[in-house]
Amino acid sequence: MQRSGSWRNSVGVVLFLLALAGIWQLVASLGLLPSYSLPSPTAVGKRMAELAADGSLAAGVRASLTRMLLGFCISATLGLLIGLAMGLSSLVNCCLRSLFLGLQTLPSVAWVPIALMLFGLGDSAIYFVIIASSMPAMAIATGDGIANVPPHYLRVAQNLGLGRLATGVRVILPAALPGTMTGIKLGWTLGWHGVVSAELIRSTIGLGFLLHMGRELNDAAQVVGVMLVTILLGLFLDQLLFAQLERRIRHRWGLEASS
Amino acid sequence: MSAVASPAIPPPKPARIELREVSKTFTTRHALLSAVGPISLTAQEGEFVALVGPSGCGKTTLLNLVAGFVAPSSGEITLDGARIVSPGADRVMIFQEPALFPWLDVFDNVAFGLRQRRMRRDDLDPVVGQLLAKVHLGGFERALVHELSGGMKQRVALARALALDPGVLLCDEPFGSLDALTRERLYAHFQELLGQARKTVLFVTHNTREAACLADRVVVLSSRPGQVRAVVEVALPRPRDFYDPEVSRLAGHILAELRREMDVRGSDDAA
Repeated sequence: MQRSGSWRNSVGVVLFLLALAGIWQLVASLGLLPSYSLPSPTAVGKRMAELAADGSLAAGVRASLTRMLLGFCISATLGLLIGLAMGLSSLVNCCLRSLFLGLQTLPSVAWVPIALMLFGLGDSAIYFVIIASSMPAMAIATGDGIANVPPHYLRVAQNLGLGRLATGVRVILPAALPGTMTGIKLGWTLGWHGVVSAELIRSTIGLGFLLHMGRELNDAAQVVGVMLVTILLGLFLDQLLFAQLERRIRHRWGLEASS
Repeated sequence: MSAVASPAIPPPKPARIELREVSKTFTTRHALLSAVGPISLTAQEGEFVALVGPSGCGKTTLLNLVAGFVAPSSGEITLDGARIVSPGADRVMIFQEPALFPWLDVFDNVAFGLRQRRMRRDDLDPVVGQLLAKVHLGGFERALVHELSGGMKQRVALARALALDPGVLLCDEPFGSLDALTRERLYAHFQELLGQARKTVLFVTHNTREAACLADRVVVLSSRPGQVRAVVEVALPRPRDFYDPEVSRLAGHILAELRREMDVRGSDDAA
């Protein structure tokens, strides 16, 4: 990490993104590709302004976010509990790890058909996809965090007279927190993939639905615009909810140099 | 020291440690590995016993046995006549790595064992403050672990151990990973601390001068399986200076014993 160049780097990133947008605009203006497959940035902006004006963008964002928040809370609770069990029992860990690693190879969209068959057309199917996409990663990270607590911490705990329960609460859980936090952050990203994937295939509202409608109507500007909104929202929430927290934990735990 | 002890617990006297025909054998993938012994060793109440020996002679295993982290394969270890069967806060270990908890600040690290004993908040502040003053870390209560130097971390670990006022301190090369200057300053600290609070100390080290500077008695161990090769009494007045010529002379004597041991065994490990 080169801290001294961070200001210069930020300017560089902004210029890079502007250049990218410029090239995009240029290619679109040259008409190398038809506008129904590659919309220009201005066309995307215009279409998004329309969607914002008629309220469908806000409704879509609200629907996706509500599902995500609820689904993620369920998923994180399950993931942490299962991860705890994995960290405490090597048998549970071996069994579930192989299962979860296998399940993790599935792209989240591959969960959608079975979710629809199991839960029908309601929102339950979407929650199922969110949980199936994000829970295994959080469970594995939590389990690893607990299982990889440095052994000398445990010796110190034993030596200072802590019993099993006290060691768990006062040593193992805090020691595992940074790893768990990384897992939760990853789980959020995977869950976000899940919710958009599920909405894309079966929903009547949400960001995924807006993507789907864009394609149905051959509205490339809407497709690209909703993609951008999904990216920006994902980044924003990641920063808002987790990045700051993770940084603070890693700093406190001394896992990275203080700035 | 009695001012530091928790009101609920009377200050413990230094204890007598006795190892009788103790051996430890580990099962590796290939064979049985005889790590230690059979060895018989006694540390009197308040005595500082240093253990030196070639790498891999089982010095650390010996400490782990006394700490109760591992059980001996044969023989018996007693503390004031009572058999040691499990770890306990009456024998606190100081590791080469300070092993402080990074999620806690300096104060909470030192208070860690006291909280386990349910010491009241009001009592905690002065007790921890005194301990930190003793290790010359007054004012660092709220510092984070990664903000401290290696020597400061080890002093916090020392304060955390002394907080429980154990009769026995088990030290596994506690100064081994520090730079020479820091180490020399800590020798003075350590002697000062032990002068105030008499403890029975088992102290593992590679450094013969360190052993001569700190110990009442230096036990030279043989290569694996570690057995008593020689015992050197150090009857010098305290506090001792690390560069005292008498300390140097004794260190040379201990080193000679070690060399003889390694020549016998053909070991190429440095002591």
